[in-house]
Amino acid sequence: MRLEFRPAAVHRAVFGAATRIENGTLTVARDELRTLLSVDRRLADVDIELANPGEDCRITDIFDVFEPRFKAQGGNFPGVIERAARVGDGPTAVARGAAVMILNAMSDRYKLTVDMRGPSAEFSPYAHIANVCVRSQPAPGLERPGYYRALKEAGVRAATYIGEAASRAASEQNEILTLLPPSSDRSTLPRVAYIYMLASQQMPTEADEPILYGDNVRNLLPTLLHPNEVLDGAVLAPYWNFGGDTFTAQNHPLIRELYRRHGRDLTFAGVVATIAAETEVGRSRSAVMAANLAHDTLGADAVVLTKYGGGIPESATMETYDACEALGMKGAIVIWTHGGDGSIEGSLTFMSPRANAVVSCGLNEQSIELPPVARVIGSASIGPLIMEAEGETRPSNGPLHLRFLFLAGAADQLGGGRRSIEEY
Amino acid sequence: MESFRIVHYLNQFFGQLGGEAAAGAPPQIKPGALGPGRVLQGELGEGFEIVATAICGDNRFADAPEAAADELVGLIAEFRPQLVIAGPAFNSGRYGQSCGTLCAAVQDRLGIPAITGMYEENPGVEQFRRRILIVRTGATARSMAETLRNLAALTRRIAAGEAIERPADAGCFPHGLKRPVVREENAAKRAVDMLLKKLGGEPFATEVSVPSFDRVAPAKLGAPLAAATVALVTDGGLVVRGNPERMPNGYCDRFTTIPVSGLERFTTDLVEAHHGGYDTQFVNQDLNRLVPLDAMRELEREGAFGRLHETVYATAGLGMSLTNARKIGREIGARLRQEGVQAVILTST
Amino acid sequence: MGIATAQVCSMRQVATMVGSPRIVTGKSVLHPVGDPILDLAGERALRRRILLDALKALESDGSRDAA
Repeated sequence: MRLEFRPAAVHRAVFGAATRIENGTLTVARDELRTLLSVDRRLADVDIELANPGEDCRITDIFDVFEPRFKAQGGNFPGVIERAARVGDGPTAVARGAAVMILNAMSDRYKLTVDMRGPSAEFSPYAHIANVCVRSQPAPGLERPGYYRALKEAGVRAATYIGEAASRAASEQNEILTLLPPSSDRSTLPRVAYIYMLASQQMPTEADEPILYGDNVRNLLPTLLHPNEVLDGAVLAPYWNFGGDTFTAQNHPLIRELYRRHGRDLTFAGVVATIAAETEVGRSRSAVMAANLAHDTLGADAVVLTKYGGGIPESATMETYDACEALGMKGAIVIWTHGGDGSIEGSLTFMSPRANAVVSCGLNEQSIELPPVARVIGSASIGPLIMEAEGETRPSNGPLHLRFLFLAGAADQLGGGRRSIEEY
Repeated sequence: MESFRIVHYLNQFFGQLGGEAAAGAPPQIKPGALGPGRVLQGELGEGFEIVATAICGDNRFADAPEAAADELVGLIAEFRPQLVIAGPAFNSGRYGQSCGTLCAAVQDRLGIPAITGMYEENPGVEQFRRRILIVRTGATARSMAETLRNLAALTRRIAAGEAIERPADAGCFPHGLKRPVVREENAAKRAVDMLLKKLGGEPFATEVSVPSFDRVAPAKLGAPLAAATVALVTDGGLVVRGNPERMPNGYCDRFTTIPVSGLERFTTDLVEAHHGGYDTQFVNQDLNRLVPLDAMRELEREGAFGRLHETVYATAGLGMSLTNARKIGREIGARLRQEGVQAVILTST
Repeated sequence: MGIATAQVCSMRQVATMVGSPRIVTGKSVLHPVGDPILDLAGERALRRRILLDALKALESDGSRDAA
């Protein structure tokens, strides 16, 4: 697999007659995009709004975020709308510096918010890029799973549409990503595998929820992926957005870091994709199989693990870590931290006594004070969010006390942030 | 310039009242430094003065710690200290208790810092390190000289107005607390760095340490099962339909009760599950999937156990702090005890 | 002296970690004593079995995991 990213730089987005990228400006033909997305009758009142870095603007109701990409040979978010196809290989155009944000009109305690400037900007990559926001209502009578499926498809369509504009623009700083297959790799550098939890079944995925090549990963047994597949659109975030967006997977921080150091101080051995099962039997099975794949098929000397979702996956991660260490691989874990009463005791719901290499991706209860804003894209009120009481809503444009967990791009569990904890 | 004023606390032995026989000595205070306090004064030198030494017998303190601490704080206050130094207690459990309790009381009531010294196995370390600075010592008074030097060094830093952000860097036990920080590099980079060090056998510092948990001794069944009253408890968020008590769906600090007297099974008109940490759709179809009332009634009729308690206790476990979990567990336990329950089946999600 | 408690849960390791002495494996975090894919009779049987394990655990001294 040899993936070639061809980025067309975007610094700002404007509306105009024809969709194109030129000299750093993404022009979006609003009506054309609106019409394209409205073809899906599950969505009503589709509209597009733009938010640029530095604007006095807040985007709320965020359901998922996509980086605009285009593969001329097919395989644009394979298995979702297009059929499954080989990705991770060949050229992919990228509108780098732009994102498609899909907003969710239904009430959902996990919806995200981002400000395009202000104190939260340093914590979210989305405050620094041009966001093309898609608003919609569910068609009358449409239930949640149907609406959410339509939202994902809208994200795929819009991202591919804008990606196509990138493919017609001049690209700069093309990037090649390639790894030798394990059998050919003669390097003596330590082999590091990444165990990547895609979803947690504590919130069971819907029948047609597209996560891995469009599959709902409901009972996913650990499987191997080439990191390029993750970077090239094979993975979408679950409907339950609690750990990272599709954009995060497309720019997967841990995969990017392992690639950066591949050939220098390690050999990136590959990715084991897994889920957190909701039964003990399922978690044990996944732990055994993931460890086996890393150890015996990828020949890994060491593993890095991340989780997705809530507290229950902590147990899955620790069990998998223990299984890896029992086979002689060294492990490191990236994981969130619960505040509890401030003591080091309650940092995790479950921790293996052998987990001696843990990196925190931040304190869950930590929040930030956001100032009032002039403009809001999304609904007029925010909340209630998880951990908040029923009826706890506030005006979207007002001052906002927001947990980092709900700041889009700030609390990914895939290692992208610099928020952490310090024990003292 | 006025000296930095310190009151030193010692037990009956180091305070030269006697040995075990004097362990019942009442709280008292004497001007100036005594015993190891004299050596400590020497270490501190100019600009620092141990203006008084408070003393109490370890047994006397242990009998009524709050009262003893109270009295001592009163005596100490008269001397207007800027710092209290207690012990060091090394590995002595009772002395460690006295030192820790006193230091915490001084900080709370006089608003001045209070420090002590203990050996790592002293139970007082776990108990008090969160609230006070405890200098690491050796196991016995053989490490007195070095400990006093360390206490003096710490005193100088405190007197200079320094905030001790990282106790471990000041020769003390970590508080066992955590705070949010923003690091230079992202978690992915830090994880790979950490892993490579671990692989290479180099030292590395984990960001989240493994906690130790207090072990609760398993309670024995109070009566033969066939005669026992058994209660059902859950952390799966069961509430009376409509949630009249407004139980939160997570981060709870309380519990709720559901009366089940005469009830054969749960039905959705009576109860619901309210919990933000798992998808409650399956238990909300049939609440007996969460709290097995129907099956318990059946087993009750068959005589598999004595009787089913008439109250179900419930809370939502999502994100519950350990402090609250302990508190709620104790409260429910106390209520059940009062209500004559001998055994509990706890169903957890 | 406390009250003997048997805990039905799927998060076995969490329970072990905090020292819960009588752990009985539940079906799933989503339905500890039930299973929506079974029919009513099947679920009742499953629930009964788990409870019998729990009752047996109560009679043990709590020094070893129950089931």
